Amino acid sequence: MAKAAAMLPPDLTEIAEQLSEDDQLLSSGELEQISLFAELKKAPSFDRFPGFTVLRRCRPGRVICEQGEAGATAFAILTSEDVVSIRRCQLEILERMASGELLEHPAYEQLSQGERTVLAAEIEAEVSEIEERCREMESADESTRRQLEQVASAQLVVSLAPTRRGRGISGWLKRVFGTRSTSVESDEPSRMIPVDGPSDIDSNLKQAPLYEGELFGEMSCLNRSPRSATVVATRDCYLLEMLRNVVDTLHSDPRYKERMDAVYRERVLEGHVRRLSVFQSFDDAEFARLEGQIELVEFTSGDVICEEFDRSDCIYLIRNGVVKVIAHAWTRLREVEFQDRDWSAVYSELVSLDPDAPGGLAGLLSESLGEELQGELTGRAESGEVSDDFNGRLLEALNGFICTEGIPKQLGKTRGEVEALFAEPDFHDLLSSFPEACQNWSQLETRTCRRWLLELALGVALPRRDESAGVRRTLAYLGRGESVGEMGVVLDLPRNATCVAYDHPDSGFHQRIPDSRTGGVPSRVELVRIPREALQAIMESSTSVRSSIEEIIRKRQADTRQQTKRFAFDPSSLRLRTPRFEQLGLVQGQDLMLVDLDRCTRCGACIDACVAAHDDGNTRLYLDGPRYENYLVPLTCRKCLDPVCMIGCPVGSINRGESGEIQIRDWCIGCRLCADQCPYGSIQMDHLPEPVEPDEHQRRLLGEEGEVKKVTSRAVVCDMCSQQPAGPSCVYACPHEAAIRVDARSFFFESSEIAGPGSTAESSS
Amino acid sequence: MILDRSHRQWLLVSGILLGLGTVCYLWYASGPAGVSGGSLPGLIFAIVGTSMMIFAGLLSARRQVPTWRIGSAQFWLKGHIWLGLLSVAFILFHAGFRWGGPVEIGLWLSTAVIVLSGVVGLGLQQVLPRLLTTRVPRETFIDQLPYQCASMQFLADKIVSEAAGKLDTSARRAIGVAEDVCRQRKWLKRESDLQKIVSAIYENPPQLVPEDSGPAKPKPAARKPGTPSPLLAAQLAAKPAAPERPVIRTEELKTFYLKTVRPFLANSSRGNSPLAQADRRRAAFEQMRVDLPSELHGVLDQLEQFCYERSQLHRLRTIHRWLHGWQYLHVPVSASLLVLFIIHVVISLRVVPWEW
Repeated sequence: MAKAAAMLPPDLTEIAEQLSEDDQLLSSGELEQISLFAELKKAPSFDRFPGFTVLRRCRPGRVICEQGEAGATAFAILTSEDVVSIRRCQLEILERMASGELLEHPAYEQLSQGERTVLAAEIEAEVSEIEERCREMESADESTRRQLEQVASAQLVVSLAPTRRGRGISGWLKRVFGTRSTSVESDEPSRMIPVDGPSDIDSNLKQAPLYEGELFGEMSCLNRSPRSATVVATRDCYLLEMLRNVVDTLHSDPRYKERMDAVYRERVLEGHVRRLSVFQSFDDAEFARLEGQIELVEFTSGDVICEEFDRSDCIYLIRNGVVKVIAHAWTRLREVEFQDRDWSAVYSELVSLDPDAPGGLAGLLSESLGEELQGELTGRAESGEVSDDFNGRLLEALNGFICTEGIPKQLGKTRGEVEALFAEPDFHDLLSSFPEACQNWSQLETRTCRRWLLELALGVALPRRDESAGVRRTLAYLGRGESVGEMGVVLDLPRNATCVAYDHPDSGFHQRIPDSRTGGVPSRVELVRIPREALQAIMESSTSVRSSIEEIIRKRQADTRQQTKRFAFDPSSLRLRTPRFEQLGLVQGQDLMLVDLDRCTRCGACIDACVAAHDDGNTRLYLDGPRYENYLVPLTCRKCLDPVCMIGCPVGSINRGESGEIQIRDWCIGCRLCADQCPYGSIQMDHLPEPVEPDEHQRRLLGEEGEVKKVTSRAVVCDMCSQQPAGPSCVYACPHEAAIRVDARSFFFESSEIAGPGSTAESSS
Repeated sequence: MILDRSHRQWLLVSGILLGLGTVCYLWYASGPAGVSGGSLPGLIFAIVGTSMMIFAGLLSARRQVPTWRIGSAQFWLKGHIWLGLLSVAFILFHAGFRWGGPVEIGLWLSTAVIVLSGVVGLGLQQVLPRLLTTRVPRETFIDQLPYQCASMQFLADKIVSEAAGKLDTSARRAIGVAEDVCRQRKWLKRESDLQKIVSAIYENPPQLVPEDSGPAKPKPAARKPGTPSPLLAAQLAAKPAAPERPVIRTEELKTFYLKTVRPFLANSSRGNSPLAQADRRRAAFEQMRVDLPSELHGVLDQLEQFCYERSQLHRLRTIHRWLHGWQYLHVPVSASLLVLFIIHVVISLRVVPWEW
C-alpha cells in the first residue's frame, strides 16, 4: 500500500515505534467506525484526541512489542469488520476528494490525485479480501472461527530452569567435558504467568493467543511498567495503538467494562480462581455454582479495600492493578480495645465534649452519632448504665466518623491547619509524611487522621491506637492472579492486614499531574470478589471439598505457628532515629545485614558462603556500602518493611516467601524494574551463562528474519537462605561473629522483640 | 577473632581439661615405670593431643563447605584456637617434656611455629580491624582494588584531558572500566557515547563499538537537522564569534599528571611513592599550584583528592597484608606438621617395643 503518512504525531513520537510503510493515522470519522468505540455508552469525541492513536498493520511475524522493553501505549486488535468499516469510510473520503471536495485528512491531503487513485484501488482489493475472510468466519463452526480470530500471540521468552554454574571439581569437569542437556521444564507442573493482556501465559507453552477485538498492554500504558511479553502477529492484522487518555476514556465507560468483564470471566477467571488452594478440588459443577456468585469489583487507587480486624466476608482475587497489604494499619475502633476501659467514662466524655473543641469537632461527632443515639448517650452518662448492645451501636457511629471520606474544611484544608488543631508531637510526626493538601490524602491517611482527632478530642476515655499497634509494615504488593483473605474466610478469622488499592507513582494521579484534556485520572484496581457464603455453601454440600479444605487449613495453621513473630512497637524509638539512620533507610531493615568492622578481618568467608549457597554461583552480598556507627551496611537485601522492589513486576515474578524474604522466581524476564526500584542497590542483574533464546515454536512464528531480544540477564536477590536450616549462610559462615542479621529498629534502639499471636501475611503467598 | 566474653566457656573447658591432664601426668610421671611415649598413658596423651590437633586442622576443611550445617564457623574457630593451644600441653605430656629424635625435633619446631604464628595472628586480629576502620574511611574490599584504581585513573584521565587536551598514553586498563564508570555516572545516553567519551580522552583510543555493527536505525524525519532558514542563517552570521580562551600552560599539567600522578594511581604503584605520604603529596601539589595558573587549580584539587584516596588504598593493602600474612606461615607449616606426624607414627610403631 502506498505510504500514507511519514511522521508520528508529537504525542506518540517519544514513546512509540516510528510509522512503517503500512501504518497509518486515522481521522476521527475513521476512529468512530471501530466497534471498540462504537459500542461505548457515550461515544468519545475523537476531536479531543488528535494524534493519540495510530493504526498499525501487522503482517505475520511482525513483533508488536518486546518483553522487558519500556512501553507507554496500549494496543487494541481490530476485528475484520472494523477494518472493513474503516476502509469503506476511507474509500468514501477518497471518492469525495476525487470529486473535488476539500476534506481534512491526516494522511490523504498530502497525496496527489494520482496517488489517491492508486490507493483507492488497493483499498478496494483489500476490502474484498477481508470480506471474504468475514464470510469464511461466519460460515465456520465455533472452534474454527476462534482459530480464524486469533491474529497474534503473546510469547514469553524465558527459561524456567534455574541458572546453574558448576564450581570446584565438578564445575571444572563440566567445563571441560560439557554437560548433557536435561529438560528441567518438562517435569515442572505448569503454572500461569500473569501478563499484561486478556489472558495469562501457561509456563509450559510460554504463549497465549490474542484474538480480534482484544486489548493488551494496558498496565504498561497506565503505569509505564515494562512490557510483560513479546507479542508477535500470527496473521495479517490491524492494531490500534493508543495513549493513556484513550485507554482512560475506555475504562470510564460502563459498556466497555461489561465487555472486558465478560472476556475475563470467559478466559481467565477460572484459571485465577483455581490457582487458590481452596478451590483446587472443585469439580466443574461446583465451580459453576461458585462462578454465579463471584462479583467483579473495582477500587480507585488509594481506596481501602479491607481493614485489619474486619470480618473476613470474602476472598479478593486481583485481576488488574496492585494491592498493597499492610500490617498494623487499622483505624476502626474495636471492642477489644476497650477491654480495660470504663464505658461510663467514655459516655461522659462524649456527652461533655466541649462545643468549642478545635475545628468544631464536637459538632462533627454529633452529626455522626445522630439525635437518637445522642439522647440515649446523655441518659446513660447520667445513670452510668452500660449495655453491650448500646456500646456496639456507639462504636459503629464512631467508626462512621472515622471512615467518612475527606477532611471537612472546618478542620483545615492543609496539613499545617490540621496539625494546628492539637499540640501533640506524635500527631505532628504522623502528619508530616502526608501530602500538603488534605484533598490529596489517601483514604487510609484520612482515616488515620480522623482516628487521631477522635482520640485527641476525647482524651483518656478513648484507647490510643499506638499503644497496641506495631509500626506499619508492608507485607506485600500483590499483582494480577494473587489473592487476599483466603485463610481468613476458611478459618473464620478476622482479616489480619489492611489492603489498599495501590496508587502507582507513575500514574500521575497521586501527584495530580494536570492534563489539559482529561485531568488527573486515578489508577484502578480490579478485583474478583468471592463471597464467603458461596464457599461455605459448597463446603456444606460437598464432603470432598470440605475434607480437602480442612487438610489445607491444618497445613496452613502449622505454617502460621512457625511465623508468629511480631515486633514490639516503641514510639520513643521513632524519635530516637538520627537523620543518618533515616537517610540510609535502616528503618526499613527487618533483617538488615551488618558487618561489625571492629571484628571483621575481611576474610571474605561470608561471600564464599553466599556463593556456595546458590546454584547460579553468584553472590547476593557485596561488602560495600555505607557505614553506620562501627558497622558496614553491605549491599544485600534487608527484607524491607515496604518492599518497593515488588511493585509492578510485569510478570509477577517477585514476591515474598514464607518467612517474608524477597524471592525472584525463575520466569523473570530480566527487565531490571525491581533492580532499579530497590533504593539500596540490593538486587543485581545476573548475566546468564547462555542467553535465553526463543524456542523452536517461537522461532517459527518469527520467521527467518524475525528477531527478538534474547534474555541475557535475570534479577537475583538475597533469599535469606530460607531453604537452609540455621539461617543465612553468610552469618553462619562468619568465624569472627562480625556478620549479623538484625531488625534495625530493635538492634539500634534496644526495643525488645516479642512473640505475639498469629500474624501471617494475608496473602496467597 | 576478638577474644571477649564469648570465649569464657571455651576457656573454662580448656582449663579443666588442662588441669585434669596435668594431674594425670603428675600421677603417671611419679610412677615406677617413669615417662614413656610408648606406654599406655603416653599413648592416651598422644591420642588426645592429636585428636585436638586434627580438630583444629579441620577448620580449613570446614571452610570448604560453608553451607554444611555442622556447627557455626565461630564454634569451629574457637575450637581451633583453644583446642589447638591445649593440644601442645598434651603432646608435651606424651613426650614427657623430652625433645626426642630428629623427626620429633622437627615436630616440635613445626608446632612452635604454628602456635606462635597463630598467637601473633590472633593478636593482630584484636587490633588491625579497628585500625582499618579508623585509618581507611574509604575502605573497599581487597579484590576491588584493581577496579578502583582503574576507575580513578579513568576519571583522572578524563578530567586532565578536558583541561589539557588528549592524553598520549596507554588506555588499556582504564578502558576496561570506562563503560561501568560512565554508566554509574549516567554519562551514556546512547551506545555510541562511550566511544565518543574515550576518543575525547586518548590520542589513540581503541575501537569499543565495532564499526560494522549493522546499519543504524533510521531517525524520524523531524529529527534530521535541516538547512537553517534564511532568517536564522542571517542571525547566526551576525552573532559575534566567542572570545578566544587565553592559552594556559596545560602541557606542564599534562606532564605532571602523566609522569607523577597517573603512575601513582595505577594498581601496580608502590606504597613508598612520595604521593603516598600526606606531607610530600601536599608539597607536590602546592608547588604545582604555584607553577600553574589558577584556571587549573580546580583540576589539581581533584587530582589531589584522587591521590589521597589512592594512598588510603595503599594503607588498606598494607594492613590487609598484616592481617592475613601470618597465614602464609601458619597454614603450610601445619601441613608439614601432618607429614612429620605420619612419619613419627610409622617410625614409632616400628621401633617402640609394645610394652603394656
